[in-house]
Amino acid sequence: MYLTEVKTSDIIGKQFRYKFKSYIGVFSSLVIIQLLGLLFSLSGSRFSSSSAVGYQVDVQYYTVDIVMIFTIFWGFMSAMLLTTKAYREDDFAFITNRFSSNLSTIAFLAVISLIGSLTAVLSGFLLKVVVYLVESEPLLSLNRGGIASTYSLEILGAFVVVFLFATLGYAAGMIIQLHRLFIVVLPAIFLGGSVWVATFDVPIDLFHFYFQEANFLLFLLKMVGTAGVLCAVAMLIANRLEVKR
Amino acid sequence: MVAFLPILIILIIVAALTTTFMVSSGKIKKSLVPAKAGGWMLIAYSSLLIVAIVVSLFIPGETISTESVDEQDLEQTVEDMHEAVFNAELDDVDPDLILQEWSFDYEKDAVGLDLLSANPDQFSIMVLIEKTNELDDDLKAFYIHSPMYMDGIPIDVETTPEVSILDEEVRVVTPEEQQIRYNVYDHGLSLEPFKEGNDSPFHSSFSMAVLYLQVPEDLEITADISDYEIVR
Repeated sequence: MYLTEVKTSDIIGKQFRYKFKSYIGVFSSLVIIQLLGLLFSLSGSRFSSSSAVGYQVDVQYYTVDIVMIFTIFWGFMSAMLLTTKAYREDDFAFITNRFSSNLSTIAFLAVISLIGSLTAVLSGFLLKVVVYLVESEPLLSLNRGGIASTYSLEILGAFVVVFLFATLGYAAGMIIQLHRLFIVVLPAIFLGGSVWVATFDVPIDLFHFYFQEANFLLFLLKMVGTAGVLCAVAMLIANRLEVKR
Repeated sequence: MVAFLPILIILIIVAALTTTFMVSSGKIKKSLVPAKAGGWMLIAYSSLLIVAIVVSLFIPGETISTESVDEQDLEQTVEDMHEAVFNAELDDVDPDLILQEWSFDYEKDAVGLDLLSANPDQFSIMVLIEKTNELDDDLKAFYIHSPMYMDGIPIDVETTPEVSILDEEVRVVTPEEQQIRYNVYDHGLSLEPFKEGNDSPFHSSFSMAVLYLQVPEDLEITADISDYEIVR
């Protein structure tokens, strides 16, 4: 019996607020990386060309694909950095355990992934304005129809992808914290696995499984489900890490 | 492996940028910019994006839709045109597809073809000759072009070849190649669910250019047989 009953949800909430204030520096890199992505996007993301009698038609596409790729990588790197000892031990300012610490970090990752996705998708408008100002040819806008014309769904789609990679970075970071050797072993497994799949034509096409899924709901399920598994893996590993001395 | 090098370099730059602003070294967290700057940068960037959203509403320019081009309709139009010209039924060709007509007085007994192009190996206009008893001492030429689309963008075909009579030959000079460039802003993410109903945005429609010659029934064609085709 204590005078003050502490709820886990309150602790997680406090830790989340603390982390959001303390790690707000992640947004400096987000902004710079997205602006860098926009700069690269100015030369066009895709190009197609066709010719007919008397005509050579070139179509230059401007998309936020590069910004998205950079944002995904930013999510991965930021999450990985959060697993380093200095960040993990920040939580001990509170009455905490591994569970609440991990949950608050995952909530933080979810929020920064959402902010990153939102700005990545909306950065397309900035790209459109800049292309209009710097290019002499008229700018056409492509309407693909279907769900692609709904920004909220696009943001949701971008969010699950960024969050998936953030959790992947978080899990990878935790594995590296187990032993420094994994800094070498993990990339080796990844690169070796990629070469193995490519060389021996192994029917394990993860890219196809995740990114060629045409059904939006299934796509969301695969992303969120895998992110959940990665979070669980990260939490299990975190429990095996040494306690604060 | 060399092909991946630029990507690797870019990813290293992104990684370096991420870590530069959020560095952890042992128990000390270091950052090149004060932590609060991150919040202000995000607010400034978000404000810039909001301004861009508003400004983009006033950018003039067409909106093209990948759904607006019915590929089946397009194929049917080309097929109808193909059928009409090869069956010597010029009246059945959609008048909008006949871009130019020529008429020449011609009293000689034979005619040849002089097909000229900027690229001599690539004369890409199909020459079809219809022998008709409706003509006597004259020749008619028609330049017919199917509709052309590139990634759903309609291309206005306006250039036509030069057609003239020189001695005993019909001289056809293909138009100088025009470079047309379109800039297209595509806000759709390159993720499969967002490509619904549009397997590949990269496609151009098959286009067909025909120079249709109507000549008198008894006129002898002296041109190389590979340069033309007689239609009935």
